[in-house]
Amino acid sequence: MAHYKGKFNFGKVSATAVELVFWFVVISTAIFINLSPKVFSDTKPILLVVLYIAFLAFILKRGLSQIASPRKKTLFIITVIICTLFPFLLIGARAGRIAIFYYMPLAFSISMACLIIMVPRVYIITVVGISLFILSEVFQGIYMDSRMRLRFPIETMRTFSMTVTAIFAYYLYKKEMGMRSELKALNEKLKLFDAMKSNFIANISHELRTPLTSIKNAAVLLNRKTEKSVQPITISDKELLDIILSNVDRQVRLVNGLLDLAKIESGKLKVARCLVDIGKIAAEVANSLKMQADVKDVKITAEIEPDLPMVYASADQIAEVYTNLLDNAIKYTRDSGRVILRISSSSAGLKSVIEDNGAGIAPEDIGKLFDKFKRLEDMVEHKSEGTGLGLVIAKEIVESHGGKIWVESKPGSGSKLIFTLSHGLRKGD
Amino acid sequence: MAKKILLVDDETDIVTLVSSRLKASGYDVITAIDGMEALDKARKEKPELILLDVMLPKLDGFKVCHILKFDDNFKDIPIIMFTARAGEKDSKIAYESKADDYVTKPFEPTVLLSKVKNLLKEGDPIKPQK
Repeated sequence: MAHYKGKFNFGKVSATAVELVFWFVVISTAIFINLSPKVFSDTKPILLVVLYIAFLAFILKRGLSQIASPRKKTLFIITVIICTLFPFLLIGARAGRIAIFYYMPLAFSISMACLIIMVPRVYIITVVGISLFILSEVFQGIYMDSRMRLRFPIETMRTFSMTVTAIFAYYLYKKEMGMRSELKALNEKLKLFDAMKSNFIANISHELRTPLTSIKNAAVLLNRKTEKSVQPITISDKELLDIILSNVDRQVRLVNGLLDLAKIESGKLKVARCLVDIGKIAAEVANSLKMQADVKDVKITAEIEPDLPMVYASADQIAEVYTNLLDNAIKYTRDSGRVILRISSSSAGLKSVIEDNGAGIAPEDIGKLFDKFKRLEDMVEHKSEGTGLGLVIAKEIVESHGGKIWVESKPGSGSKLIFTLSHGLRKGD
Repeated sequence: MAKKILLVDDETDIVTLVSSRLKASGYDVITAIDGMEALDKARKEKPELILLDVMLPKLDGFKVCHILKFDDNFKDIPIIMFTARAGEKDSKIAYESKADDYVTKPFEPTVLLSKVKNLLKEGDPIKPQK
């Protein structure tokens, strides 16, 4: 139906509507000819049958091009044929009354088939349409008098049944359109997500190149210094080596960040679990971070309730959560500050609190803490020392263990990172 | 007199390395670590050439370049951009913001130096006094 699209530039749906109108006009003309007794002739039924077949072919072709799965294609063909043949079958049942070979079969099949194309939930409409049709036929029987004359204007009934079907179909169609617009919005969201990712990749490639530039330049300078003939370079070997080392570290950190990201992305966080003593794990982690805390002169204390119940969890992952949270607390606590780790048990589960007396977090920034992209943005903008993904990973792990993690903080008075884990056997996880 | 080059990068390591390399080649190097400072120094010190990183705090390198190139007093100062993003986008923007040349990180120090020499229209770098 290219000529419709060409002329008016309709969308796909509008094109369908135009086709509908086109066929409606053609068929109405046929019906009009058939209905007027003056021009009655024997060729009329043939004309209608030809039209019917042409229309059937058109509907099938149009509909099949829009359906992908073979099973649905078969269903569609069967539905269309039943829908369109049904009125004929009824007529066949009333032998000798060929005069009824007008209006209903074609008009009904047109409305049905057009709706089949436009609305996916064709079966509901078919059922409604056929029931109304049968109802109108029944009424016809009731209101037929002994001389086979209609007492009740049956055409009104048929028109009514078709109108109701059409309204119903229109309602479903609207609903479908709503669903499509929802899908569209979702699609837009995904596109945005994809753009963010592309942007991130562009930024990360910048970030990966930066340390390489320093390393390369430092190495070239070192190399030059071995050639005595050229101009003196003021910078010392030690400084150059320091630059190389610190940039190698930075590169490693970036690569680790990317690996962490991959870890989050691929959902590899589900690993084997067993009953573990998280108090013991937390104490070990706190111990291992003592040195790091000492460098900053941060006092790190663990207040772990004795005889904590065991938790069904992955020991490595829980250790990672404590490492990330404590590491984070140490990093954001001012020099000679303090970090306290508290673990307590209640009927609801185990509650771990990591408290620091650092600068605290502004309320508007709390939400961003666990935002993967925000963290990544900060990482590329050098706003954070590490990859910034520690909290994101911690959240993923805690949530994959069925726990919850949140932050309580007031700017200026430190912050508390709290997470809960339910205790006991949770083999379902 | 040694020619003055303004080196703008927020990476202190790169600033240290590139400036010592340039100094070794006999140039006078002044540095800036963000876009605003770069504009400030460019206006005050009138360098003969600017080496400009793209990703800068406060004002990015493209904007700095654009502002200078559309200012009649400074449009003749050659600008070399340091781009680091993969792909053509950066080089295209560098071209559009009228930068004279660009190098992609991680750049070869000798390539950068030859581009500097080229834009300063020197056959050889200025040798320091022996």
